[in-house]
Amino acid sequence: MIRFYYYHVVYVGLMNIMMLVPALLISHRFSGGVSAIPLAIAAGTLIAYLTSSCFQRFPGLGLPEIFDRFLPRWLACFLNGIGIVIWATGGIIVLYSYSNTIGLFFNPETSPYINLTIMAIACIWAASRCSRSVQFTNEMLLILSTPMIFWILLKAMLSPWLDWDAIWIVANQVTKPPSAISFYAATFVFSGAMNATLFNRLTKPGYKLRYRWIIPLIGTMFLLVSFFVPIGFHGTQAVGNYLYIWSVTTDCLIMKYGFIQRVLYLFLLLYTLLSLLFVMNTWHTAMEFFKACFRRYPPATDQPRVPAVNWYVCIALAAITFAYAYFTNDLRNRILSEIWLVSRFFIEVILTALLLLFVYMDRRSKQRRRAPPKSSGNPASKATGS
Amino acid sequence: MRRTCVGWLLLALLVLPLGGCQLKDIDKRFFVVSAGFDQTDDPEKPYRVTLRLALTSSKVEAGTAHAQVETVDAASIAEAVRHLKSNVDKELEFGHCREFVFGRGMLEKQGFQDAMQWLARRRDIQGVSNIMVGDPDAASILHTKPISERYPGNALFLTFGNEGTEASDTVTEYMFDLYRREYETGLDPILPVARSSQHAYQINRVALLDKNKIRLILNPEETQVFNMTANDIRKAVMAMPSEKGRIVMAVTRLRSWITMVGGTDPKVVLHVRATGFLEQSPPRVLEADWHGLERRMGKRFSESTEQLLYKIRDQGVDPYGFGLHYLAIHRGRQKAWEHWKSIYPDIRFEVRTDVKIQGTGMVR
Repeated sequence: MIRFYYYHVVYVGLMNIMMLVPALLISHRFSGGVSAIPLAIAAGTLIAYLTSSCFQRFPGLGLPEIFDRFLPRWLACFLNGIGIVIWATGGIIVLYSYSNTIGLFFNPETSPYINLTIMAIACIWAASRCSRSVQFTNEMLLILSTPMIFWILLKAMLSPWLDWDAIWIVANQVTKPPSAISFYAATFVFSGAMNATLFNRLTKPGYKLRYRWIIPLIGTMFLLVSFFVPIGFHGTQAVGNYLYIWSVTTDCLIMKYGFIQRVLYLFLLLYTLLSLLFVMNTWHTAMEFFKACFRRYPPATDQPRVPAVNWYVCIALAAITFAYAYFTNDLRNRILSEIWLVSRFFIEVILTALLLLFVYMDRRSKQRRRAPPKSSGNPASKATGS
Repeated sequence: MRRTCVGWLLLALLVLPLGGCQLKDIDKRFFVVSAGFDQTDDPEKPYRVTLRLALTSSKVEAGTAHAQVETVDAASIAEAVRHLKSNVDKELEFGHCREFVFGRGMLEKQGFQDAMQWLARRRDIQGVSNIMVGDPDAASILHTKPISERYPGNALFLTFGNEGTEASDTVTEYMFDLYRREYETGLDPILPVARSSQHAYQINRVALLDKNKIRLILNPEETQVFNMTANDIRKAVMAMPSEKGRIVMAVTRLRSWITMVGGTDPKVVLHVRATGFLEQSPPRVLEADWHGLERRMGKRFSESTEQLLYKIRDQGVDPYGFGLHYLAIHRGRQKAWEHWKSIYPDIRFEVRTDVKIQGTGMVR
């Protein structure tokens, strides 16, 4: 069932637009944003390859179980806590940005909390399901939304109004030294691989993750499109004036024979699905990490009856979103999302280092158990969750 | 049991926002179909905003479209629109407004940047709105009642793009493109010029602007050449006189691109590749000298285009984006833009036109 792994890669890659990654890169387009892109592709691919190789050694185990196996209880709980914060915040930022954008373009006369309420109810319901249902929902929502999203992206790329000279001018800035914040932000496109932290629970012993070359391919494509297409439509200078950069870019497209001629509305509707998908996954992961801190809740991936705690945790997350929406504004949300993008990168790096350490410890303990060591002992001994 | 109750309660919550969505219904809205901005002589209230409001009716038939035109003067466009609301009984809705007309007087004296500020900020104004210059002013365009209109405002937007007519001398300019050209280095704004004639619009000229004001208005022939070479518009014609009569080729495919030759003293080369068939010609001219005719036609087109390019260059504007292309191919040079600005007034042009005639139509 390796396709479920790649679904995460695809939708997180597409979500970079709601995470304000293109806005950040475009604001640094003349100060090192372009050279950060190839670096981010290299770093993101490396992290994705390393973590996926490590997770393959622990089939059927999520990150909390791996922590429990190698670390003392208090440290495992602490690390779970970091996971809860980073995953839940990601969902909260996306939910807020999305309901804000919808409020702006669909119905500015409505109270923004109504949009938020409707989305939050859907997210609570979706995230509180068991991991297996969440995984299946991923597939369904993605199959519903991606064909049209790819169509919009293709339509944008083939538009005669796309100015390739402007794209070239910005691409030529690649010689500038990379800016750190653009680099951290751009690696977000590859973050989908990180969702294996929880969904590794659903893997079967001895699974092999094939076709991993898809990860750099998809990530590079999304990153280049979400950065260069707005520049092609708005020119090298005016592109910096827009706040909702991708909403405005899709508004430059026209469907002459579509029953709504503004592509913007179709685009926002499709991103409703993607945002729901993203928030569902992040909140679900945060919820499961929270439950892993208590011995009362052993990991269970298939639960026909949803335990009450799932509801409580998700409702609490929704309440935090409301509190956040009350205290924040566009500018603060922008700052928080930048902070989130940077801290996420460092947490990914730390996590990768920890996983490598765990793999090393695992191998050591296996060798010790097999003492006296055989000289022909293959180091790639299959790790079957004993 | 308890679980089902909670589920129903949650579902019931969804009913709450249905109670209206705080949204005004369609019968309480006035749909603005086109808007015009002019300048007044009053320094206190320099802006005159004219809105064409659709009077909705159930009939969709040519000539049955009715509209109400409202005008108000104010200190800014945003204020004018607010004041205008007190003249009408319904809420103004800009979501369907795709035509914005800038008065020629405003563009010559004051420029379009203030009006653009308002357009770019409004979330309900489409990026693909058509912008044009109203000659002599915007109000006259909005007061025109075209008899072919099926519903209010559709005659004007069918003119642009290739939605309705595909006229080769109508330049289409979208709002997002005007905004790009307003800020871009090495690419200057263009706007089609509309004139009202009795019961129709005549849109066959283009105004070339610097970053704010009109510098040059091309005549219909020049506009067609400009549209062919800058926008790759098809369905145009290339004409040439000969001893026996005029030879006219209908262009079916057209592609143009820019290259630059020469290092420090560059020359701009505009390549045009046109394919088409003869629509009007004296009999058996093509058979006699097929390649010669193609060559002569290309040469003639190149000459008229070169003339146009020099005319545009002498006004100091760059609607083709030659400067942008220069910047794109001279990377890493900080002073490229300064250098370009210094050489552009004396730059040389060469147009290379490659004409391919596919046939002579139904007869020889």
